[in-house]
Amino acid sequence: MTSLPVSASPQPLLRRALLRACTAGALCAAFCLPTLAAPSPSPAPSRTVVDIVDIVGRTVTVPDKIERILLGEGRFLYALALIEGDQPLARIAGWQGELPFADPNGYADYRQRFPAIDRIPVIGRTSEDSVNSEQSVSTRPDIAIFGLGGHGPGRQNALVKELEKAGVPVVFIDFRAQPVQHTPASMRILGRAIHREAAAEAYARFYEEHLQRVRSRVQAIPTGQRPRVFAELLAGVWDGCCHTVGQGNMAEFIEAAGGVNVAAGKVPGAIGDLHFEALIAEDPGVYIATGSRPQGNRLMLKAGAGVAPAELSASLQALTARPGFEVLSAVRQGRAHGLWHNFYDAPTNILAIEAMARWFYPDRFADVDPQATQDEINRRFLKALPLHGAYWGDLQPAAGAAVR
Amino acid sequence: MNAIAGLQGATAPVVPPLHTTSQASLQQAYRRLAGLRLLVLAALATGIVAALLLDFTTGPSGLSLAQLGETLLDAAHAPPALRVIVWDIRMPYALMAVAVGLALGLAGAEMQTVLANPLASPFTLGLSSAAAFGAALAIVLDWSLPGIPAAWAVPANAFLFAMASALLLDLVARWGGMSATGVVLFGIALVFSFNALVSLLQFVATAEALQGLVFWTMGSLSRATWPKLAVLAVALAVVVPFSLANAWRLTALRLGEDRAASFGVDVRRLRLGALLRISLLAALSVAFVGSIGFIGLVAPHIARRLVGDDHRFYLPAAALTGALVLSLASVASKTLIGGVVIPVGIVTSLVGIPFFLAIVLRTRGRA
Repeated sequence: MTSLPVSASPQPLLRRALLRACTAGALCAAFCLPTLAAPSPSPAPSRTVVDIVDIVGRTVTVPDKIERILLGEGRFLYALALIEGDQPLARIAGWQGELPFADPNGYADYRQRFPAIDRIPVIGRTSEDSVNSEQSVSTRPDIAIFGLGGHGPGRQNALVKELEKAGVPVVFIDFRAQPVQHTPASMRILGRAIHREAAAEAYARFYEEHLQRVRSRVQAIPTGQRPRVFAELLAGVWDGCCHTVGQGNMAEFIEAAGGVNVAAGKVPGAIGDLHFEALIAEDPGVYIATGSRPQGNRLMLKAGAGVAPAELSASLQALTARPGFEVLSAVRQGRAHGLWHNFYDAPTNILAIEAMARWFYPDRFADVDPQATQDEINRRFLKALPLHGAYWGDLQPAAGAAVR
Repeated sequence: MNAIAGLQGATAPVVPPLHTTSQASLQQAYRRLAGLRLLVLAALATGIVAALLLDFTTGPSGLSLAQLGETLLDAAHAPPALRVIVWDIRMPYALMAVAVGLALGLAGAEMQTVLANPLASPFTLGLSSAAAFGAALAIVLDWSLPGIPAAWAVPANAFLFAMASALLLDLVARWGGMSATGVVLFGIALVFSFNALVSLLQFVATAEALQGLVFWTMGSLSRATWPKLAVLAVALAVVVPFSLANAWRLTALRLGEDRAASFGVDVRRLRLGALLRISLLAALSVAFVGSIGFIGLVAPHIARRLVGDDHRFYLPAAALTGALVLSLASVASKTLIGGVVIPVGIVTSLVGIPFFLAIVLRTRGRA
């Protein structure tokens, strides 16, 4: 839609966009939309609009009737599913296509339960570059929910202006750049934006309570007594060790759970590679590998939907058997753990924080059971499709553990 | 060290001795020049030893020289962490930097000569891009030759494609009867084709594979292991004698294909042999440490400025310069930000460019 003429009124543009959508997206309009566009009952139609302030501080006017949502990241499904009840896909008009790549197991789960997931129009693949503006506008969204960038359109993307010109409000949320701080706020913003205030508020409160439980116990611990932690992102994906996070995403979980991230202050940006020698010299007390699933025969942490605890442990053992790892205290003392990689972009990251708190302080958090928290999330929020599988784990699978 | 002196040195082995009155002084001048050039080579070698020592003694764990020495001499009784740092990290990384530098410097030097183009290098003529595409096939699509162990799939693919593209370059040169310029243009076409194919694969890649691919293309010495180092060392040991044995023919080729032919040089055979050596060295280097673009292009230029066109000096000088630059880059990649590795492919350019500019500016107008 970059060729759209500039116009003072958004209405003709919207109409043009609709027309184009009807022709260019005829296939979709004919086949998938009728099945997907059966929304759950929307609020009584009135002409009122709502002003909300999104995560970057923009004030956005949101129409009262939201039937078609455009997601700038496929993984916003994790957030939508928490508040959309038993039809999490019903209102998704289009989305970025990274979900099946970033979380193939989770996607397959949804596909089994909701085969229509494959017919949701995709606006791009796994990168911001791949986003197609025309396809995005032609999904005729009532609202667009974007993240701060990474795998989908970000703040500076031309698509934001194009959608706004087409009369589509764009709301930014974030579970990735500053997940601990932004998750409850983003859930509330999402709730207001798509008119699921109550459910979103309930989840935000649930999150804050659980976060507070962890924080209240770790805040008094002096830095010197906190375990030093190293998180290797997507361990084994490439030769050599130590792709890690300096600040933001996973680093926030480590700090929230009372750990000291050994890469903080070393890796200048969000992600970077620690020198393997530096890791050996630091000899952190706790080692965490993240991953989602194995790709082919390559070494990788298996974690996430449908992964058995024994599978996770076996893959973690293989990762910690790489040359040189045998000298790490964390590996020798069994304090090496595995974590589902996509927690870095999911509002369920409270599970990662609780799991870490247990790893860092087994005694202090003996009564905190992240599995119980997961069960509660499943019971109270994820009505359509519960989380099931090993999203975190240890070198040895817990006795009697099985896929829940 | 100017162009005339280079030519005199170059032609000395092939042209019969001149029976003139100035013969004695000419021989004297030649010997002095050769001595100077040997001195330059010795200085470069000394520089490499110094850089290697620096590389070996610097690292984020701040080990003392005594600790390093003890671990080096008596690994069995050293603490395990020390042993891993010295024997599995510092030694292979530092030696790999030197080996890859030697290989890329030599490959670039031969390539610029046989293709008669100062912009030729394994990087600019598509060998690195081809290797990247081969690596991408393994990383993204898990495609590899049957029977290759998983750990070697990426380097094996990278090697295969780099080798294939080098042979293709040679085939085009011979079959099309194409001039050196034509071969260079074909190489540039290869660069763009393989880059486009890599982008295409990136487009369908998973997040993990994409990240793996991006880091692979940036080049990293942390992929160095003893077996890889051994493979590269053997390749160097095999290739270098052939290169040096062909030094005078390559020198003659610098005077032009016709001139070289008139000296009795089989130019086609010379070019094929050189391309085979180049592809072996470049393909192995790229396969083991990823794309490091700067060395193959710039080391030959630095070497030419230092020792002239006589390939008996120029080839070793290019190899040694490559090793020196990459060894220094290896030090920089781990010390610029303490504890963090900056991909060496990035650092190489930053370290090499001042080096390069200094030499270009110092000798400007002379060549």
